[in-house]
Amino acid sequence: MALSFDARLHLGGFDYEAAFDADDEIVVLFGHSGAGKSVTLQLIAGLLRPDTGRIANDGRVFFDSASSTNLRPQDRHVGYVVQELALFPHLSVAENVMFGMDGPRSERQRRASALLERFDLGGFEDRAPRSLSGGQRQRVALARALGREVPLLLLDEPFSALDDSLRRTLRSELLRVRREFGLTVLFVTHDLREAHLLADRLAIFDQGRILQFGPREEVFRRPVSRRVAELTGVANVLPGVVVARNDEHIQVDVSGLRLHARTSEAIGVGQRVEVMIRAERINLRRVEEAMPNVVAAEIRDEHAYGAGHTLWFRPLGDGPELEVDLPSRPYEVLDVASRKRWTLELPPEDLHVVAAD
Amino acid sequence: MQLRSPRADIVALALLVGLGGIFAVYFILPFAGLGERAISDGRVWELTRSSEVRAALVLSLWTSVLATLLAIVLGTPIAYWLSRSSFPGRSIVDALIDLPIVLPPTVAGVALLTAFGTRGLVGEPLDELTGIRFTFTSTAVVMAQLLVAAPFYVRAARAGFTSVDPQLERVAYTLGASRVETFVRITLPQARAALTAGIVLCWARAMGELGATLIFAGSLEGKTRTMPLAIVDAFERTSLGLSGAVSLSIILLVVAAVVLVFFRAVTPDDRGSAWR
Amino acid sequence: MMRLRRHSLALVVGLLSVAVVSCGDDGSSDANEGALAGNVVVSAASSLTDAFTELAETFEGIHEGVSIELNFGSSSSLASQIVEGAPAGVFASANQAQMQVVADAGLANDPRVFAQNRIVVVTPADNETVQTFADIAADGVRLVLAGAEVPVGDYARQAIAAADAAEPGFEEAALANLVSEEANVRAVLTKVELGEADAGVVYETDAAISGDAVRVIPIPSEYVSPAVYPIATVGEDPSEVARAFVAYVLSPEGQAILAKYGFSAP
Repeated sequence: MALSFDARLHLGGFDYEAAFDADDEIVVLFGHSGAGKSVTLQLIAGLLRPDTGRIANDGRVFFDSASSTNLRPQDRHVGYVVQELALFPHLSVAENVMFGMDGPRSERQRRASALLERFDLGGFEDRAPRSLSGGQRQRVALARALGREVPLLLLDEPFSALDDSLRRTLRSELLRVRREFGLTVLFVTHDLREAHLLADRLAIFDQGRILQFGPREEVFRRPVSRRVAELTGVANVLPGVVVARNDEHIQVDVSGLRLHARTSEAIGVGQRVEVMIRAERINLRRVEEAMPNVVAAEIRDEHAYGAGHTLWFRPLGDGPELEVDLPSRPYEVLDVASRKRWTLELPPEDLHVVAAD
Repeated sequence: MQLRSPRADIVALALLVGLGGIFAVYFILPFAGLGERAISDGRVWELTRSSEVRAALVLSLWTSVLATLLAIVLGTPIAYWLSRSSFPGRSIVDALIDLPIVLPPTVAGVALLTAFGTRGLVGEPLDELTGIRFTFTSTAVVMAQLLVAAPFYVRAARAGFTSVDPQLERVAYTLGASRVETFVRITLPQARAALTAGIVLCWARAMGELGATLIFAGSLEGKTRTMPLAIVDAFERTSLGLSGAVSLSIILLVVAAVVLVFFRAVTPDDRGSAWR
Repeated sequence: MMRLRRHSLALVVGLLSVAVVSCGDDGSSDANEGALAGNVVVSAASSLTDAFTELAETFEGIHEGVSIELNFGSSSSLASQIVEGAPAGVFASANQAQMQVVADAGLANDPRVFAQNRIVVVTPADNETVQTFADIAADGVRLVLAGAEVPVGDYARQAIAAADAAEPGFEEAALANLVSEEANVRAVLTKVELGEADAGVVYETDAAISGDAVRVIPIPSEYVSPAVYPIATVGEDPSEVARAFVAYVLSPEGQAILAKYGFSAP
């Protein structure tokens, strides 16, 4: 285990408590601003001090309230990149990268040049940071953070000031760098797609707590609570009551509609639950077939965006209102524009049931 | 006339030129007056070489430079501290440092007397224990200048440090730089323009100090009679009269101009500073 | 503008002593026919501060439409101001030399001596260092005088020079003790009152105002001649009010007020 983190902190009106670990992987810390993501990075970097807890990386203890250990940020050897990048404006690109290095100047210069080469910035050594483009500055910041040959890289929304195409390039570059350097990366973002793209594992932060921590798909598919579902963009969170159960099969009544689902959780008959399904997991059918988990509904409203359409359905009989995402191609093939009434299928394997709070 | 009508802008432009012109003329005339006197009155040039003028200039230069150095040494830590910390009563500390800026210097002089005078709070026990007295000494001149001028430096330095993004310092820490190294290599260079401006202001204020010096240090040639005091003194002396005052004023003007030009030259233009 | 600058300069010069009593109305009331009306600036030596403040108040009491603006400073600085064009209507100097400066510029009309004064040595009441005039030349005494061209400073140096004739070396020793040359007599007095200086030379009248704060040591009469105060209207065409004020100062009522403050008649 590379990083193990466990900290509690009371800061003004802000109450923070979190614990997780990270290996040679990218762990994305996801949540709204003020949820405690950046605080986590600052606690690891040594810029904030926990009230109690233990933080260690590769066996090196950064902080331990039990043994009163608290390494200075200078001694933690952690790469830290912030959204504003904080390049030193009065120093050249090479001087920025050399800032964290030890050794004789010529040696540091050689290493800085080599590092810049790996970030496709060869020949930029003597340039001033402000003369570079946004993406180039971003890479200088990464190179500077890696100049100390750190095992752990903390990235605090490093791409959020950049435009979309640049972000895509930099994300793939980050994936490459992580592999090449064998780094543990903690990546803070509030962008759901970015989280999905980069994360090996995902920690969902809310109000100073980690609500869920686990492999990316696990968290996206199986949110542990309504709040996590909302944060991770699950459009349909439907309150219901369990009406039948055997082995892993469960039947839930949602607004008069009976839905079949699977769950391994200990949920009994009569219990109130939340049934969740992502908007892109619902299928549209032209004809009503004799199969479970279908509901007849009509389009109440719709909204088109670049890559697809979002449709809002009102049930014709019993059942919940539902939100459905449809990519442009199936939208056209099905000719959704010309028809109001549809049969919606909620595949049992895509339904996720958790006990209500 | 409607504010919206195009004529409003024409009137505004005329006003702008008119008022700007008046302002400019008002600023140029006093200096023109000095220049005219200097040219028409032959004694002015003679007097610039007199021993009294030289004594005042030498005294003014070394006391003001010393006061400025003290302001830098004593003021920089507090300016940095004020820019980086927040604590209850911070605004009171801020106000206390700004106080000498808004107070007449004569008040500073009286205040110094009550603290460091022979019967002052600190002055009396100090005199009894060690025989050290401040009043009527060159030390008193420096003390008066320091009290009146240092706030100008501290203010500028505080603003300079505040404008340096603390994120730069935090990142420097994670890159292994100690707090001292970070201050020297990151914070100071970033605040350099503001610090330089503060130093010039502070020095200029020290050089021009009159009221507090007169009250706390007295006036004696070569010891406490700085340039501004010498100007007052010359003005009173019918034998020198305005000629003496003008010649001293011209010298002060030249010194101030030289210093301003020098600092303009060495202060990095903010845009160019990255190309060090 | 000119006038403003002069005033602020005078303010600085008279730091510790100047009290500018400025009365409002620009002579707007002319109640009685033939009554005096208008205002006048009176530039007077610092040593006259208290006496002239009362003189002006009394004078204003007699003539309702009159307003007197008092401008105190060392006679030398007042003379400089007047010669450079400051708008004074009356000048009261603490010696003949400074009045002569104004007269030489053709600005003083018929100067008349209106009072006499004497210089004395003052020393802080609780300071035993100086007991006699001779002591001001003793080693380590901190002596404060007014500047050489300020009348009281001039008188003091004359006295020291006279003592030097009797006892060679006295002048050098006394002037070596000089720690500050103040701008006017009141500044000298304040430095002594505060205990900053061991001794200073001021007018008897000023010493009297300080009361118990200072001890007065007379200067042997063979070393000092009395200080004489001349007064004159200023400018080619002095105003009615200016002339009336000068006449009032010379009148028995005016003399009585001056006597109250320790000045002797001419």
